[in-house]
Amino acid sequence: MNPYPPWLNAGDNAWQLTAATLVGLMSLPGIAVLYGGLVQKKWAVNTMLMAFSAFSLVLIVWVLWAYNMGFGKPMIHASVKGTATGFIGHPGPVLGSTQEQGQATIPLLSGSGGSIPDFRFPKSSLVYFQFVFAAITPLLFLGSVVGRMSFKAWLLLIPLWTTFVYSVNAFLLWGGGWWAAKGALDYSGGYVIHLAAGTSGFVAAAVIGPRLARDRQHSAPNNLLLCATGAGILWLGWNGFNGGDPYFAGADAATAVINTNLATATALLTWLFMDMLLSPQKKPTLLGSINGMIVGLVAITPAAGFVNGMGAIAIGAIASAVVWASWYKLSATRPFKKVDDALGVVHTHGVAGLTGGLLVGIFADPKIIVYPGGSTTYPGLAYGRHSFHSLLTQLGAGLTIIVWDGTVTFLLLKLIGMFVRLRLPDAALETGDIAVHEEEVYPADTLTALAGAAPAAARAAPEPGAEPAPASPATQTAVLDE
Amino acid sequence: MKLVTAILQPSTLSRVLDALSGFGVSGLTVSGTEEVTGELRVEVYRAHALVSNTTARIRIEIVAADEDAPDVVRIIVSAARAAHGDPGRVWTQTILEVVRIRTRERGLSAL
Repeated sequence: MNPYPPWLNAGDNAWQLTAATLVGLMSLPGIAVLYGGLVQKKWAVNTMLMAFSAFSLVLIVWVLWAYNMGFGKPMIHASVKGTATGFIGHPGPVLGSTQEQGQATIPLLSGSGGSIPDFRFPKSSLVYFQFVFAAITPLLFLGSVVGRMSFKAWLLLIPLWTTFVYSVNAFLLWGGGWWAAKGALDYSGGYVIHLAAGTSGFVAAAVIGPRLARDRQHSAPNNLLLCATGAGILWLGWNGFNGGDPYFAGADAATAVINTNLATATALLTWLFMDMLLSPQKKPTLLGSINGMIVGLVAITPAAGFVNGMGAIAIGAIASAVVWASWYKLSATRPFKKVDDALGVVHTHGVAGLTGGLLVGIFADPKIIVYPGGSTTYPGLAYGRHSFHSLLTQLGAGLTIIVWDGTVTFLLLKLIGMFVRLRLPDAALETGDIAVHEEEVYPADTLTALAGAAPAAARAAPEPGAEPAPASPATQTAVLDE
Repeated sequence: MKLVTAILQPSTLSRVLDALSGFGVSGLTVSGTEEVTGELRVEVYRAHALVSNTTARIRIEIVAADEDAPDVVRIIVSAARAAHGDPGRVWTQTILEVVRIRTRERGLSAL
């Protein structure tokens, strides 16, 4: 007997599964507790349940049809300079024994003639690794719509968004689709994930409508310890996010990991210093620093294994300064002032992802090798003689994501809005978690067992001619129907 | 001297505080509290139903000169109207003595 098929490399497979798990931890519990801590106390349960339920929904959709739309054989064919490409993959399940245990491939990219060496791990490793990216993307734009979106509408949006938005993004840039064939670079998802989340979240926030005016004004977070916990999990989890994307446990994986940390540390410090020097309060803040940290992680994502260490530091500093300005200045102008993007996803993910994606076109170092012997990347403006080619390609791919994701997210929400309300009624928004879930994040000390408390309520209620007090949980929940 | 106590909906707090400071009322205490109401709130944890018949409220306490107390009450009453539900109660009590600890001042000058 042999533990491995001949094409399998234990190191590569072990790293791919480890990296995927690290990325999964970024969603659960990372984003769940970061966002759960950032929202008002009355929305913590709703926010966390939206994260857990979306993570589950995306996995089912992913293995039934969406993985193959992002990474399978092309359905709509095209050709760029003689290279076969396309716009979307053939949907189909990846649940059989050969699909789970056979060698992984990306049909347009793998093997001889392709741009990626033959994979040395099974397809289930690739499916799961790509799933955790597909799952975190809607979790990121959850931050735009928390505090008013109907839970039912959320459950309907996630499968549709994964199918018609994320799969297209992934195929275009990672599955060998049109922008990949044009040479656009997105190492780990500056466009596919972060620009997508920023754009879709902003559009969704506009279509669904704002939170209650008072909640918008008094949107104090409820737990900074959980914010710090979630943020820390994001940072270290990102070692898998970027370190896993070469698909091999080689030198470029290590390059991507250290570059990711360099850009992140630089961006955190840049935001910290800008807060101390330029903010109205001139004070260092935890939540500001965490925001800067996330900006660094996002901005280095499209670049991690294409730039050198100096490029990583430059990207961290530039992106953090750009997003800081966006956060404080752009947010005061229309349409950013009007649209209630609750946690500012359009800045920390949208602007940061686009900035990072464009900076790849400047700092991509042709001497940083993804695969020894493979084709080198286009040199960025800082290394190419007089070539704007990389920068223009990056711009084109970024605009494609913005237009496609924005338009389709708008249409999907309009479609869902024909069947269920997108925004909860005001009475439910006043109450939050208890109205939607009958749970609250720190259950009150005044709660008692149902049998003991009902007579007390009955005693308090009766007045001549008054309506009888609600008698059972069933009548209570009926009032809160979405 | 009078102690004015108001039990209000949390959502009206900022409007009431703005109105009070607009009329120059200072030296007040705010705390969160629960009022026993007829509303039965049900929460379910792991299929186990729990109920509470209390509702979150804000308590504002202000000590004012006898002649100012009716105005303080009027300001609170007009600012505390709520869109939904019971806006709450305001009541007044007589205060026998107030001492400012730092200066040992007593009575009105301690307010």
